[in-house]
Amino acid sequence: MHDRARKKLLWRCNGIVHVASFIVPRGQRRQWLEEWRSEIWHWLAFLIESGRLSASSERQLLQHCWGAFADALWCRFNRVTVTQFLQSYPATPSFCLLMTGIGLAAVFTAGPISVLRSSPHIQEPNSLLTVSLNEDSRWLEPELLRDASMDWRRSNKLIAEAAAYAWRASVIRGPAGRQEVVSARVTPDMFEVLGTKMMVGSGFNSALTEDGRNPVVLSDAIWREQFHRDAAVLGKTLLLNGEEACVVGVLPAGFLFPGTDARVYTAFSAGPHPRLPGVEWPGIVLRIAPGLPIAQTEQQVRTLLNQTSFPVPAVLDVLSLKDIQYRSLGSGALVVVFTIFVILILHWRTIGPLCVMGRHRTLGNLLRWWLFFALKSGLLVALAWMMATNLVEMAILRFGIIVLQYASGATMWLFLAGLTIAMRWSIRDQASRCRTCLKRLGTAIVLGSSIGPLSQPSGFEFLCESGHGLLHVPASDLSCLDSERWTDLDESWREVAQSA
Amino acid sequence: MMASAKLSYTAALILQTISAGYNYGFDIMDVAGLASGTVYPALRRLEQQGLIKSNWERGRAASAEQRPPRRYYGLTPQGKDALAKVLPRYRLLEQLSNSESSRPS
Repeated sequence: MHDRARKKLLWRCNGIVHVASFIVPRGQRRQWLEEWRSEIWHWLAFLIESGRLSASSERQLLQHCWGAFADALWCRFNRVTVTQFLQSYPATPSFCLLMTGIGLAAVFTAGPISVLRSSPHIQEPNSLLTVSLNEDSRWLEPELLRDASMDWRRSNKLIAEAAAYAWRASVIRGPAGRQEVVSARVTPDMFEVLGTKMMVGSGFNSALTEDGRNPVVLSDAIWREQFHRDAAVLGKTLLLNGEEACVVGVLPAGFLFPGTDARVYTAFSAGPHPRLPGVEWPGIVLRIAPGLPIAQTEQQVRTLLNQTSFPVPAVLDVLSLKDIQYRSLGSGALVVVFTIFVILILHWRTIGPLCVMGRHRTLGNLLRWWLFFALKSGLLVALAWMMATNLVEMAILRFGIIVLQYASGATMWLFLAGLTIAMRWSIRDQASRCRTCLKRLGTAIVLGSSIGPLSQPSGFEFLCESGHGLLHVPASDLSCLDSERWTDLDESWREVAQSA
Repeated sequence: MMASAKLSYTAALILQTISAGYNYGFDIMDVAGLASGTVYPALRRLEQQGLIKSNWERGRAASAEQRPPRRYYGLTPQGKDALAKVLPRYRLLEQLSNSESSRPS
């Protein structure tokens, strides 16, 4: 092989290694590159001196150089460090909080829950009030409530605008197949009252339905799921509860109808509509006159509306959008506080000994301990509440609005069950952590004799990996002779714990 | 203790190769028949675990021979200990070890 060809081979090899060197952390790069260049030089020199340099050995040398990438990757993403991190990080309190937070975020974003979110596409939400039937009220025809709302607007200066709606669980069948959703019949001026502009189309004012077809406005979610955000969706049809409906508009992403998670909107038709008691629920959106204080006006409107006589005894709830968002939180707050208090009392035997000072437990450590417990429990309580609300909303969608009367009770009972499980787990988790560094304790050391076929362990010991202390757990919770206890260890144990 | 218990066959083979006197990357690859992408990361890991240590050849000696300096690897006492403990687990390596020691120098 000529000198020029050798230089070219050396240049190619060094080029590969040089590119790979960019993966290596800056601090190690120079030495890493020197080692690889030296290796290549010596290999090439050996091949030349031994007369073994051929096309095959040249390929082999290049292959060897490609191995520099594997080495560089190892230097960058050191497997030992990564493995050690993966083994130790799940034991830390930050991992516990992170995972609980992720769970909470997942439930919040994935579920149909809408009560805590506010819609950015509603103009001046502070001047809006919603009117709905009280849970104890008899069912009222949506058309009656709609007509009453028109009278209120005409006869009262407090109310600037009013629009009616009636929501129900529905089934749509579009290009992407069958889908269970909440749909709402609304008066054509509903989106003007809310101050929401269509993202696509002009809504119920469209000329697309002049041929008598039923107009339908879609939420962004349905537009995405059924029509893949097709810009030419206007005029296309889908089946809503078995009836054909023509798309006349798409609402902006992030729009949320006050109080319900309706995804499909049709207009109140001029003709007769089947009565759907217990299936379709009416409501009104009112915009109060500009400049009026919302809290006082809400009270005045509530009094005024409940003076209206309907064919059946009906009690109307008047709520502001803020009330809707925090209604379910407020009603359960006292029950939650009481339940947490009861659970803490019942588990005081476990929690009590954790709240004392010790060798390594300074006031700062104790505060950190309580802060972690409060944060973790708070996140778990929120998770339990969201899961309960989501489950009930999913049940409403799946089984229809007929279960609506039981929704509040079911949500509360599900939440209390979830809350009890969450708090018990939180307390157990707290007890199985080091009292000083809050890391989860490592492998159990089984205590007791192992001689004989019927031998049973008398207990377990868990050592903190940093050597802060040792947790003794008796084999049986019911033992009156032995109990769970924590022993603080001195510095001499640190080395023993770390090598275990 | 922990490191020796977790030594893979590749790691043991590399330790054994270094122990037999092949003490730089290319030589180790050549004797062990392993790819560069395996040998170099393994050398870094073993060095991090304290089973081998490396040192650069003196620049003067290398420049006298008009070549770049080499990085040499050698077993530490822990490495020797770990290799002795792991050899019974890898019987073939143990045989190689015996044949190396019985080979006339």
